[in-house]
Amino acid sequence: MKYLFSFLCSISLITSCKKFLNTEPTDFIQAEIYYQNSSQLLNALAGVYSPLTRDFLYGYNYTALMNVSSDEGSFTQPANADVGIVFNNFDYTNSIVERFWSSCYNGIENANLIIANIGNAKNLDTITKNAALGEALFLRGYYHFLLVQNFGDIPLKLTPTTDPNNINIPRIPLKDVYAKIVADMKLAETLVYPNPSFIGNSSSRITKTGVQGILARVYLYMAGFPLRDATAYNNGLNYANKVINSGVHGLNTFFESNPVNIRGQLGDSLNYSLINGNPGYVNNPYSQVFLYESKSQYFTRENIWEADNSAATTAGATAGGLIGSQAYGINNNNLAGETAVLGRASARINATQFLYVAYANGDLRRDWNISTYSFSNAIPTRKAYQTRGNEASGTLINRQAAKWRREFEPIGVGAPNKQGWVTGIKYPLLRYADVLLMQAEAENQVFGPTATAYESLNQVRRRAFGIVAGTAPIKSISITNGGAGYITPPTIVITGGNGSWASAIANVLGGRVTDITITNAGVGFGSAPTISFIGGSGFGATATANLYEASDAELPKGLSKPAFQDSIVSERFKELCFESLRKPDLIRWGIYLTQMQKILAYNNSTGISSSNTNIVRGNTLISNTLAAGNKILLLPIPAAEISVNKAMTQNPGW
Amino acid sequence: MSFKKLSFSTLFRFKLIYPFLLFTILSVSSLSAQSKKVSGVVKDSSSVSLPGVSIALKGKSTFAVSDAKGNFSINVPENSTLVFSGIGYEPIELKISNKSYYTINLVTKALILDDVVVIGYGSTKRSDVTSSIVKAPIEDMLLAPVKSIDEALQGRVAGVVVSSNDGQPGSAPNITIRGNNSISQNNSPLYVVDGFPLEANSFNDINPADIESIELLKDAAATAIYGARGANGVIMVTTKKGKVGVPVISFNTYTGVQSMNKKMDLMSPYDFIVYQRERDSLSNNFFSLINPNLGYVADSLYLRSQNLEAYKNVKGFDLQDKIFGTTWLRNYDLSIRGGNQQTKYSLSGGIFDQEGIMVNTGFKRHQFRITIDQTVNTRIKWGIIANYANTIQKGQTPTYINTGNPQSSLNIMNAVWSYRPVSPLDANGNQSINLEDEVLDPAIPSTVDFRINPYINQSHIINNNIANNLIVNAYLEYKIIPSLTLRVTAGITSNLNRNEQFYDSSTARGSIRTNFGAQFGVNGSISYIHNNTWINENILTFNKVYNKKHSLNAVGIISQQGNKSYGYGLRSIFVPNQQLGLSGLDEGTPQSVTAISSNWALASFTGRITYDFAKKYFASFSYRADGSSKFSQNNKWAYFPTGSFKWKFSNESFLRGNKILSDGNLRGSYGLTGNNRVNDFSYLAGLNIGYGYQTGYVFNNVIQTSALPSGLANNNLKWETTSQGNIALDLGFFKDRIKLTVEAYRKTTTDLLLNAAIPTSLGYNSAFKNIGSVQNQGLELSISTINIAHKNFTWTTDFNISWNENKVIDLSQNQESITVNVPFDRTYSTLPAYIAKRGQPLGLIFGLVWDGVYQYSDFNNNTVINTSAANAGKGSNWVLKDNVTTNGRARGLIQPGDIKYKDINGDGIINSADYTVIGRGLPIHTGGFNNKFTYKTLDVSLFFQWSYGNEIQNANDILLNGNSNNSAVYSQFAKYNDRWTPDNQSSTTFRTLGSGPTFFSSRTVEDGSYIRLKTVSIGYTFTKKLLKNRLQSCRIYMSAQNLITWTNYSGMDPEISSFNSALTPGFDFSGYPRANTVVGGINITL
Repeated sequence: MKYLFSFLCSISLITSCKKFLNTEPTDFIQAEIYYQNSSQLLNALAGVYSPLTRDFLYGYNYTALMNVSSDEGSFTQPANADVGIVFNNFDYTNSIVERFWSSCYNGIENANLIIANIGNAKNLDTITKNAALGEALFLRGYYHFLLVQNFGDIPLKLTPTTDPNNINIPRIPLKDVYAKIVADMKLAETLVYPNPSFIGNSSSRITKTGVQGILARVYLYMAGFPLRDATAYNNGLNYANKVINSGVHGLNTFFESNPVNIRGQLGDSLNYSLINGNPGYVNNPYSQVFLYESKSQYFTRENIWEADNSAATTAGATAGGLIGSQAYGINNNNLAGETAVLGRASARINATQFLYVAYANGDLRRDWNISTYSFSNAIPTRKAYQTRGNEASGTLINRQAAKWRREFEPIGVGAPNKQGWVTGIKYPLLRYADVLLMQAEAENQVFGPTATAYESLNQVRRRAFGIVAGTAPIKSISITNGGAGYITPPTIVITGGNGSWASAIANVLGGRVTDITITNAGVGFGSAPTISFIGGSGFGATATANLYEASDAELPKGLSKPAFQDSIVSERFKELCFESLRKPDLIRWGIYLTQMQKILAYNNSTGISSSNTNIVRGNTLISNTLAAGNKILLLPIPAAEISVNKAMTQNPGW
Repeated sequence: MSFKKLSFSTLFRFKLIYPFLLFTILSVSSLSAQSKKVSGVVKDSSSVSLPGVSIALKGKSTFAVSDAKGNFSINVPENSTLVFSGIGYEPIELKISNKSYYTINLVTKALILDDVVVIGYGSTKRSDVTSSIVKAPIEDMLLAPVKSIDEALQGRVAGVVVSSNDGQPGSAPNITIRGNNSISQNNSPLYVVDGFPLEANSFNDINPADIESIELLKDAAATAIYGARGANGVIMVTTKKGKVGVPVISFNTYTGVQSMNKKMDLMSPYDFIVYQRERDSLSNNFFSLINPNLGYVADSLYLRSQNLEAYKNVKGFDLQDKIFGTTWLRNYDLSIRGGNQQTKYSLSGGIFDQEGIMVNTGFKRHQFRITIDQTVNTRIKWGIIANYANTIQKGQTPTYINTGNPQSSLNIMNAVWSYRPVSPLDANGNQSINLEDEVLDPAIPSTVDFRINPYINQSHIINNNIANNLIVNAYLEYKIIPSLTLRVTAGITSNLNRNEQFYDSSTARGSIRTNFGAQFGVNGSISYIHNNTWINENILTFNKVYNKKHSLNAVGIISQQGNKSYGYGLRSIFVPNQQLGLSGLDEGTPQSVTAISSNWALASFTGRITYDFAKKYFASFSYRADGSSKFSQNNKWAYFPTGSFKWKFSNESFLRGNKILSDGNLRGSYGLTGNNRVNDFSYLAGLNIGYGYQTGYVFNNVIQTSALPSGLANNNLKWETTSQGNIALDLGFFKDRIKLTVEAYRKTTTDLLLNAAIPTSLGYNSAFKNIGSVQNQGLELSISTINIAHKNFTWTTDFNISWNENKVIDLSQNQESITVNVPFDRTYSTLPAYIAKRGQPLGLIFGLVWDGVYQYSDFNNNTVINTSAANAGKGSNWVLKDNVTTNGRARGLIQPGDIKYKDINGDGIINSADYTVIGRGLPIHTGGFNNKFTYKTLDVSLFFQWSYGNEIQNANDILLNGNSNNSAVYSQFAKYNDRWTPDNQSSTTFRTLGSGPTFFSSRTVEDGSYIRLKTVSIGYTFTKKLLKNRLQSCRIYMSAQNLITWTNYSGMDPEISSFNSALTPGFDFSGYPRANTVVGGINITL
């Protein structure tokens, strides 16, 4: 019949039917003829990376909704909700789980298209080609890694989809999925660019040390729940060591002088608040790492690989990275006119009091990771310090998780539109501090708490106390002579020692200086500064300053292997909070549920009013989690998958 | 100027293809030789001369018409037979004898006319039709004061459901014929306007006054001639042509007013303050009505200077009064039609101008049409039709949805109803804020809520849809031999649409003070879509009667059609000089540019044979082969056969002359039709270059656009096929004073073109697949009666009712059901609102079964959770008993008066496992009922139309009868005053803040049945005597549309479908209210 009509066609129409009906698309390029030159290859590669910055992954959901439901933070919006994944009150129809699942597979499909078609590329130099192939392989592995951590057995997808009718796709056992992830990443290790200098010292793409660092992470997860492959620690250790020994990376030691926020607010906003008793805050080598990210700057020494959200700041983008605006940061949403300058932020995550109290005195990380101030409606250009008050009071848990802060995001030509929600803040996927802690953990598991393990952990701790490159903050000031005749407290002048920003105030009793309060410990003192007293109508007071020493920061020596592991658990909490690692860590260590019980006990013991909304919400999360039990350790296979894929099975309990 | 290009290329093609044809035309030289001249006069039974009677040689086409005095003259061959036919008269056959002058007396026809019915590629007598083709009562429909004829089609024809999404001026209604075949693809019929097939409804471009007839093709036998596009039925539109006779100039104008049918009752100032106080006390203390004086934020605002009682004396502020008004509607048509035996012409033009009842909305049309038909000689005829229309639809629709990030507070009606009725009273008892003039109510938290004074917002928004549409269609007909005619047609449509949007600083989308506007500032966009279609059809028709008993008609068609479309758009934000409007866009920050293009082609071969024996037994067969560019190489062609028969038993000898039964037919048909409504290149996968956040990524601080697969290719994609069987009985009684048609059909659509869900682990959410199956079966009944046929008084009635039963037979592989989200509000956007399930009809409303509220008896009150000293006495004492089901919230948070749902699976908690079907979106039956009365020259017509059995998900009530999102400063419908409180425990409406987690439920599902007095008209025609022959005729009239609606639905209007699709009918959210229209007009014929 077809031939009859073809015949009729040919006699009746000027053009043959075949030609007439074979229209060509004019609005898109067909996949088979793509991937020919390096710009096409980069376009395709961007398509593999882009799911990372979407709302469904590191743009918002994965970090702010899926991973905050642990001991580090609590979710504060909307006001009367207690349903959803962030409260562990959800089921397999949850759209956030679904979008997470489908975004990962979306990235895998895009990677597969490159892997399958890169052979067609001509006129491409081998290095470019290999790097693209390596990155595609790595990302395919990484997306599978995200899936396997969260879902257990999953379909392993290694070729582009061709047939929409072939839809019964079985799950592959965890072990085999991990084996393929490792294989993909090991192959990628040999193909990707050897270090960030090949890509302009940026961290938006993965390079060799990044692959190695993530491989270390993969092995650590293999060693933990649910696979519990104890031999994996050894491999993890090897790969962590590869990164450390590469010499490409290190912990940040640099810090700018106190950061000037975008409004130009410097001094007053960051100084000690006598009334509220907040410590003086000063920029330091730890906060500098996140300051770089907030400013959308690369810093490959420590930030090995980042989800580069700055595409979100393209003019007109309507959705995107919400780090610093809706996830973390400091709320300024009700300040008319200020959002254009400070950057619109309605941060939804508060730090738990449990996290706050985990930090020791002198640990500089606390006051960066947990905000000490909010923006005030009354004086919008200024910051109002949170009432510090009693740590047991409800106000403390109203402090926001402020590891990334929009107020430092640049403004001006070519810069993000700060009135929108979309931020260009980069989000860390692999930091050198994480590599050190992984190395310490693996070393301890394989060889026990060796000096190497201690040293890696202590590097992180010393930096946390501001003890870097032979410098430190002031720990204390001791009065050597109270002097006499002081009517008013004299001004304390701290000079020398190469440090900066330190300040202190004196108390006078009976004409003598009896007490000195450090209002700002400062940073960068190479040697103890000179303390002098000016004014107050008295004379003769002298004092000496003492700097923090390594021993103040370092872990006590001689810990047992389990005790050292406990220190790792605690250190990762303090160092890596809000980096989408806490909940997965707790789960792989097998202590997620017990940790939730701990925090419940803690909340109850502090006597915080249970009418505090955030405590109620936090406790709701905990009771939901404990009620869910072990099923919560794996996410449910989403409805969109399981309803059409008959070979799919549901995870236990869902 | 691609139109020019196209038309030239078409002509060029035309010439090349048919050189033989031109040759034949040129070679035609002489007519038959043996002819004689015959003349005479035509009169009626009372000897009044009849102009305009057509005189035809039997079996051939018309070639003479009587003049104004009834005279005629014609050249005929010897011994031939002439047929005289005039509209409204029985045709008479005259055997030519030796005489050369005749006086013919025509007799008035029986009241029911055996008129001509337009079928696909031809026309036939009504009595010969074998398939299900219904002629719409166009004269009755033209009485309705509507912008386009489809708005008057509702309820007129059994089996045809016309429903509009809402009352927005200029929006096209949705037409479905015999139910929805397709789940995810377009279900609208094919439109054939003067022979030109159009896939989109283009009634907006056609002046109703220009329409001669509308035929609806319902069964496969009728539509299969349109093959691949016929599955959803076909609407054939024929426009008026010139007629032989003196030129007739006709002028028709009407003017009228439109107004609101209904307003919603809103909370009074007092009610509002009471409600705000409850919100405070409850949000501070969960459920502490023990001490209701604690911590009122509302008190500090509203009761600072006045007490609560003072608000009883304040008149509430209702924005409905401001944003809606009584507005004008105007229409003017002018036409001149006439012609002689060789050339007939028609020129017409019209202006339609409708202001919407909502501020800054409306619809305008300027339209012009010309037709020429010329008979060159007895063998050759040609003609051309050109229609140009310019339409402007103005104003943002209240259902506007930003699909990516739906914010219900951007919807106008939602903002109108939730606007607070009062601002705090000062010491003098005056309102401290002028809510009417304030752009942004200072109390609304603008960062989470985009409500801006909706009146000011709507007045400032520019949103124009401007369409320029040109249709040109030409034909050339050549009679090869008397029984064989070749007709060649060529046509183009050129459609240019421009959409302009501009949001200045007084709009929710442009004000820097709202969250949304803050991202973009003053912004605007312009986009163009240009759509060009051309067609060429070559139709060979054979028509012959053998032995006076065997009539044979055969048609062969070769046709080809092609389309190219382009779209370009630009957007600009932070426009500095907003007073420049759209011209100021170049000063803003340029945004993404859109550029799209596509094309398709269709080639077809069709044959049809119609045969009847002695006008008793009729049969018709057709076969169409369609080739489409939209499918892959192996699936380009599809074949659509059909057959139908009819037994006209009233013509059998045993019934002939029967006094009671005047007409009786039994008809049956079966056939296959197709649906190709799929994207132009769905079978291919492409890579789209995206830009920006959603698809891009940054490499070393440089934005790298990304290439992403546009979708999953399916090389096996093919046509959707619908098989339909139809059986019908036509009966006429008492000389057809009672006529009745009953039809029953069943159609099954298979290989459904479904954008089917596939496992997302494939990397895609969906792919186009031929999968799934839907069945529609139904019964249609139409009755027309002439109740009284007195000389001075007549009364006729038309009634029709149709039942359609829709059933999903099969969905995507492995899929038991499809749930559909309706993104009307951010918090609801991911929840399933509708479901399509195997074995069930489409459009089922989905959600939880509402079970009233929790009462005190459901709780233990002996547990005090909070014992801390600082908060003694606060917090809840009420804890849900262990055996009582939760409502989805944590058990400890549920309070008396909270919403309660039925626990379908009995596990003690409410979650998605408890979702069930809570309503049907599709009606059980629909119909219409028309009564016409005439008294002398006074005519009155009353038309009712109804829909029964459909239910509506009233989403307005979700937000405005309970405030489920707990938005601040958000007033409610007055009915929420009856909510549960400790003093009003009998109420089933949950307490303030008691809405529980976000779910769709049966609480807001309502019966959407209605009956509407759709059109009323009364007219008076002045007799020629009264007009002293100065005018041919003059009719003055008044008519009204949507005058009264009877319904139990509590919303604005039961005919609503804010998110219309086959899967989501009957969802009411912020629809444009339907206006009632009353007009007065005059119709003059010169």
